[in-house]
Amino acid sequence: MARESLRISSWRNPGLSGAIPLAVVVLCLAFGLVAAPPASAHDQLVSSTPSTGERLSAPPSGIELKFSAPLLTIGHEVRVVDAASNNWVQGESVLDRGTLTQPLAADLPTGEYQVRWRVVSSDGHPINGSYTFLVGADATAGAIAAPGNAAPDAPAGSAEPKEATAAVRIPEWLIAAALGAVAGLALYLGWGVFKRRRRSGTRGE
Amino acid sequence: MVDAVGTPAPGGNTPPPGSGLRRRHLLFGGAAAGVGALAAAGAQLAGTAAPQMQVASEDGANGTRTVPFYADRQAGVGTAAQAHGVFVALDLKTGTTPERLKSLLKLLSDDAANLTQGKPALADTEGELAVRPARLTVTFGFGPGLFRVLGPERVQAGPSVLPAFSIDKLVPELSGGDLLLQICADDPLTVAHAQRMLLKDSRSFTTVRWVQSGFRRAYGTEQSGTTMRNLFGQVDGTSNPAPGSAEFERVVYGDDGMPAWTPNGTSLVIRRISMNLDKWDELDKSGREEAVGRRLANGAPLTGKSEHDEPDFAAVTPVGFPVIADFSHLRRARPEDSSQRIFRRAFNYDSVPGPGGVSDSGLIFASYQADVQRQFVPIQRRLDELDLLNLWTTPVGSAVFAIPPGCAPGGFVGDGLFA
Repeated sequence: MARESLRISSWRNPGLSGAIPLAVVVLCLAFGLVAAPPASAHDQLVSSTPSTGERLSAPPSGIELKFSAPLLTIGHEVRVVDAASNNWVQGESVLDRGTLTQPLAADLPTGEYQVRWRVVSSDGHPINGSYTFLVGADATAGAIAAPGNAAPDAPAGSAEPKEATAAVRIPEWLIAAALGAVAGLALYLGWGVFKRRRRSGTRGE
Repeated sequence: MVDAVGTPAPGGNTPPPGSGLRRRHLLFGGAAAGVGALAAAGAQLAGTAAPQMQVASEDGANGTRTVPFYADRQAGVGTAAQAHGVFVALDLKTGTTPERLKSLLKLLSDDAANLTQGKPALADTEGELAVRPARLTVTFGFGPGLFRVLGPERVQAGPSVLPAFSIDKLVPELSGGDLLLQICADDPLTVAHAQRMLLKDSRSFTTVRWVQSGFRRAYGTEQSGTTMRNLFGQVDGTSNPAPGSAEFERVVYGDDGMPAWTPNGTSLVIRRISMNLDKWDELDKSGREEAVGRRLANGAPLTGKSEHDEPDFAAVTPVGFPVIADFSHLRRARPEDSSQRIFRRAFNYDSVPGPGGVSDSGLIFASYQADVQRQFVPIQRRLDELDLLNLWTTPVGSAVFAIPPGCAPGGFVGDGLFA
C-alpha cells in the first residue's frame, strides 16, 4: 500500500506539474493566434433626432443622424417608412461632415415610422441601420414589417453571417498541431509511468 | 568542490526529489508535445497539399512555345495573357517622314517576327536569349502623332482623344505617345531582351516617352484561364468576353453597327491606375467587398456564390438597401447598354516607392475595344461620376492607340496605311 501511494505521488508530481501547464500554454497560444477579431474602424451612429423609440406629439419636419466622424460624401440615403411601406422623405439627405439630415413631408399622420439609413464611413466602409419612432399619442409600436428577411433592427452587415464565422475559423493544421501536442505529451507521460512501474516491479522481485 | 560534486548522494542512485527532476520533465514533456505538434501539423498539411499538387512542366517546354506573328490580326490581344508585359511608348523624332516611318515599321516588324518565333533579331548581340520565346508577342499601336506623319487627312482615322475625367491626376511623362510596343511573354528575361532589341533598332527614329512594366501570376502558378488578381487582392476582369467568342469579336473588332477604325484592327486604352495600398489596408474585408460588389475569395458578386454568377442588383439588405450598393464598382461599371463593353488585358505594377512611402503599386489597365468613344468612354464617365473604389485608386497615366491589323510574310505592321 505504501509503495502504491508513493508511486502515484512521485508520478503525479514531476509529470503533471511540469508538462501539463506547458500543454495548456501551447493550446492557448494555438487558439489565441486565430481567435483575434479583425480590427474595425468604422464610424458609428452616435445619436439621432427623433431618437430610437421616441414618441412625438407633433410630426417632425426632418430626421437628424449624428455619426462619430465625418462621413464620405457619397452613398448616403435615408428612408422613413410607415407600416404601409410609404416613404415619407422629401428631397435628398444632406450631409454636413458627421451629421446627416433628411427633410420629411409635412404633417406625417399619426403612426409608427421606421428610419432606414445607409452612409459610407470615413474609412470607405458602407454602414446601415434602422430604428423606429412614433408620432401621436395613439400610435402603437411593432406594426412595421422588416424590409428584408431579417429583423428590422438587424445591425449593418448582418446579411453576411459567413464573415463572422470566417474570422474565427481555425486552420486545420493548427487543430492537428494541438492534438499532436496532446498526443506527444500523453505518450511521454505514459512512457514515464511504464518505466516507473517496470522499475518498481523489478525492485519488488 | 570536485569531490563534493563527484561524491554520490547518500542513498545511492535514488533520484533526489526536487527542481532538477521537475525541470527535466518539463523539458522532455515540452519536447514531446512540440514534436507531436509538428508531426501532426506536418502530416495534416502534407495530406491536404498532396492532392492539389500538379506541378507545371519543368522540362522547359513553355520556353519554346510560340504565338504566330504573321496573321490577319496582331497577336497579343486575343492571346491568353502572358505572365509579364511591358508597354513602351515612343515619340517619333521631329521631322520624321512617311518614308522614315515605313523603314522603322519594317525593321521592327521584322525583329518582332523573328523574336516571337525564337529566332535572333537583326544583328542580335545576345541571340542566345532569343531561343526561349515563351509565348512572346509584340503588338504595335499607333498614336495620334504617327497618323500626323502620314498626312493631316489621316489623323481622323487615328485614335480618338479621351475627355478629361475629374478623378484623373495624369502625369505627362506617363501619358500619350506616337508608337506603342506591347511586349508580353511568360518569361521576364525574354521580355527584356525583346524590348532591348526593338529599342536598339528604333533608337535612330524615336525617343522613349514612357515604359510601364507589369506582371501577373507566373506561368504555371495557376491554372491557365484563371481570372487575374490585382494588388488589392481582387479578382479583376470577370466580365471579360472570352477570346474566340462572338461577343469578343464584336467588342474588340466591331460589327456593322459599330465598326473598328479598320477591318481586323482595334483600339487600346492604357490607363496607369495608382492603387493606394496603405489606405486600402485600413478597410476590413466586408468593406473591401462592398466597395467592389464582389467577394474577395472567388470574385462572386455579393448576391451570388461563384465568380460568373449574374449579380442581382434588386437584392436588398435587411435594412432595405441594395446588397450590391449603387456606388459599388461592379454596379457603376456595369453598362446600361450592352454595346458598352470592353476587353481588359491588364497587368499589375509594383514600382519603387517615393520618398517616405512604402509602396507605389497599381494596375496597368489595358482595354481593347472597337470604338473608344462608344465603348470605353461611357463606362469611364460613370466611374468618374461615382465609384466607391475611387477612394483608393487614381489614374496617373493615360494613352490611346489605334491597333492596326496584322501583316502577311513579307509585309509589315501598318503596311495598309502606306498603300
